Amino acid sequence: MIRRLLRAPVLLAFPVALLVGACTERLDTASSCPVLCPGQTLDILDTILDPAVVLDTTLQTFPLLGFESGLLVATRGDTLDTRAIIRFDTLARVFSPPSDTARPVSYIDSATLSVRLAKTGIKVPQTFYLDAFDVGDTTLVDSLPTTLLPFFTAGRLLGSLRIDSASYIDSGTVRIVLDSAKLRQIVSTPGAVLRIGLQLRSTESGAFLVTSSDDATNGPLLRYRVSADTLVAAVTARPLSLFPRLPLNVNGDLVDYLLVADAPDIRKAGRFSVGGFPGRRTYLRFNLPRWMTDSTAVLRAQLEFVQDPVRGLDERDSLTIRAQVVLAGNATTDLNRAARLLAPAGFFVGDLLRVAPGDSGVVKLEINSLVRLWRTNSGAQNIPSALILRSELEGSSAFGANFFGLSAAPGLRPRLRVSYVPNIRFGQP
Amino acid sequence: MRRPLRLLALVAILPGALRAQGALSVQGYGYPTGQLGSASVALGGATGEIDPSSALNPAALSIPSRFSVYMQVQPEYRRTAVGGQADRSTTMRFPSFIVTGGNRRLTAGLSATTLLDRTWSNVYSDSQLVGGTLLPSVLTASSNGAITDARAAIAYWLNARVQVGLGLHALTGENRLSFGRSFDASTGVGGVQQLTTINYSGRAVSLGLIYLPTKVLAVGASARLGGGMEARQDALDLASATVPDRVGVTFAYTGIPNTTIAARFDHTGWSSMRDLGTAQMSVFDANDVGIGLEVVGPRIAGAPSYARLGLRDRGLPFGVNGDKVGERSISGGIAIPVARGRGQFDISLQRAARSAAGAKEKALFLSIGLGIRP
Repeated sequence: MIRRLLRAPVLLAFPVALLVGACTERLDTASSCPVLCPGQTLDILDTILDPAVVLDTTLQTFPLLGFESGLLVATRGDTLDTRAIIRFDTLARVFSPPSDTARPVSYIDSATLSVRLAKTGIKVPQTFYLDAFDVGDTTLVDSLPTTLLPFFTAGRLLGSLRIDSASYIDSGTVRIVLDSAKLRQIVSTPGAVLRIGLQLRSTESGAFLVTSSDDATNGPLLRYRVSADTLVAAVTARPLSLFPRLPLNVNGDLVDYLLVADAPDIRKAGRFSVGGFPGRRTYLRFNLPRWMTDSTAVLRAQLEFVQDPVRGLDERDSLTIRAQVVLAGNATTDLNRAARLLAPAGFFVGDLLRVAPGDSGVVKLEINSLVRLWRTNSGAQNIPSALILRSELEGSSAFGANFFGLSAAPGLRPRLRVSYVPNIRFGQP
Repeated sequence: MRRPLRLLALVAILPGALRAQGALSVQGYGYPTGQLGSASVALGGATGEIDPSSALNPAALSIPSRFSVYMQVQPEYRRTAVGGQADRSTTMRFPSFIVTGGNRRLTAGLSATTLLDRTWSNVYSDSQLVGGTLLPSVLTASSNGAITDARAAIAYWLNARVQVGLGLHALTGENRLSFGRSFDASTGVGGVQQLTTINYSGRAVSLGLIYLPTKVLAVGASARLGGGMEARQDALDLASATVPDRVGVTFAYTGIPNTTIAARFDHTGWSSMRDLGTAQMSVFDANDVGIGLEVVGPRIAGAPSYARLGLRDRGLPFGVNGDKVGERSISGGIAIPVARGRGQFDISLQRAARSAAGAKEKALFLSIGLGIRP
């Protein structure tokens, strides 16, 4: 019995020692370091690459025609005038009365166009009009929308809607009553198309965003009656484009698009531009030294630009500029195309620039993750080290900003301020 | 037989080595465990040269009291104080595993013992100047792994008084190192982290002798002659040096009934590893002196038990900022037979004190050895 009592705790000693050791693990060492932690220093060096870029160029037009996220209809005196074009290239030309055979449409009544308007940063005018013009002409070159400007005349006015600011708060769907006689003429003419140009008219400055047809719920909608018989349902039509026939599949992009009648040109020699109309992007290509991309760890990389003010239109309003990494390989020599092959916003560059067009001075963009992405192996690089600067409201805002480019004086051109660790010697005591 | 097997199964499912932290004892390439079995630890290392559970003297393999399988666990509980601040840490070690077998006068054995344990971790906050701005930062550094002495040895009884042994050593192992510095996300500064593996290889040969000049005196002596030693970082040759030579001798007196008094002196030429480190690494040759007393206790299950006491003074190979680290310890332990004498637990406690470079460190080792003789 005594032997058993003696042996029992002894037999448990081995596993107990393991468990006790495991449960008392401690990792705090703040007190004994750095005195007892030699070799754990890290040299952080700073350098400035000036010039940081080897190529800068301003590219336009972004987004491509028809790819606007919203259609800006604006009237800003003689500074800015933009309009929206909406195509209804197929219209119902026959209908079937109840219990009868189909017959051609010869009656049009109660024609309306519904569009959703959203307020922009511009104050809503006291009173403004939304005019709808017939701009349909398939004989014109579709890729040159500015040829449609002569159609915005009183003689081609399809309808107009007066809106008072008191009845308009933020956003809402408005219905423009269209001239039924003119629509009947289009419907009864074989091959004719209905293309509506929307223009904002006001004695004050105003700007609204028209929801495009990409939004199936709130996109433009045409409605008209084809019979006096109320048992016959009204026809509704959503935008559709049949032209151009060639190249294939382009017609669908032009269901609705932005028509810029007048916009300030913010471009200046020796500067690169971002934003504005037409939408501009800046392509910046870097040639980082191999010692940096091959064998260092970059902690911070700040791209510094010197902004050149753009005076005039809303120069104190803020503009958000994002940087996106170019994914196009070396085989893509068309920079305009390369500027569309991008990593999603926020990937590798979380930072952004928030500037006002009229600002001046140095702005900084943190791109350390991007510089890490551009690491090389013995100098070999799969994709060019390039990024795109683009406005967050590209294609739906006239705001733009200019920055001094590569050809500017040394103090003005872009430069890259880098903090890096040349190498880590930890391991060998 | 069943009980040891149950214990082995339990050991197998328990967690592996735990991490400790930067301290006086884990400078350089790490802490030298001494390659002593639990019984020798309890005796201040004094019987190291005549203890078959200590992988020092290959001639000791032929001692009749050897176990066929021997394993050891040795957690260390450590307190390190620097400038009024103190840290506590724990390191779990499995410093030795020995298998032996013999036929008449010849005994052979394989063993794997920890030569230098470099297992630690530390995390601390400081500030770093980045781009002209002082930013808060967190440094994380850790090392896991050890240099292991794998030995194949044979021992031979020349006659009733003399045993000789030969050991071939392969030093192997790796250190898995992690080093990183991180900054708060709000600073926009990225962090760095490096994962490194350093592999080691080395060769040595050892010769041993056990001589019994009288019935009450035993002398054990051995020497290890170091060959080449290399360190590789990932696939690159990092450095090469020489495995430290070692020489040691034990005198054990058994003239008092049921009592053994032993003393040992050991010298290891650690400085031969100098080329394995950077110029900042300070490495010193070290002496290890210990005395111990063992008395036979009551018989349990037909086999004797033991009580042990020891004192030890030694230098550690790797210093701090050029200062040599010394270690003094007092130890004690017991040995309890199990399974009718087919197994034995050696349990020891060792209290060690170290000091160097204004830092003081106290450590408590619990060493448990389990020997099995099927």
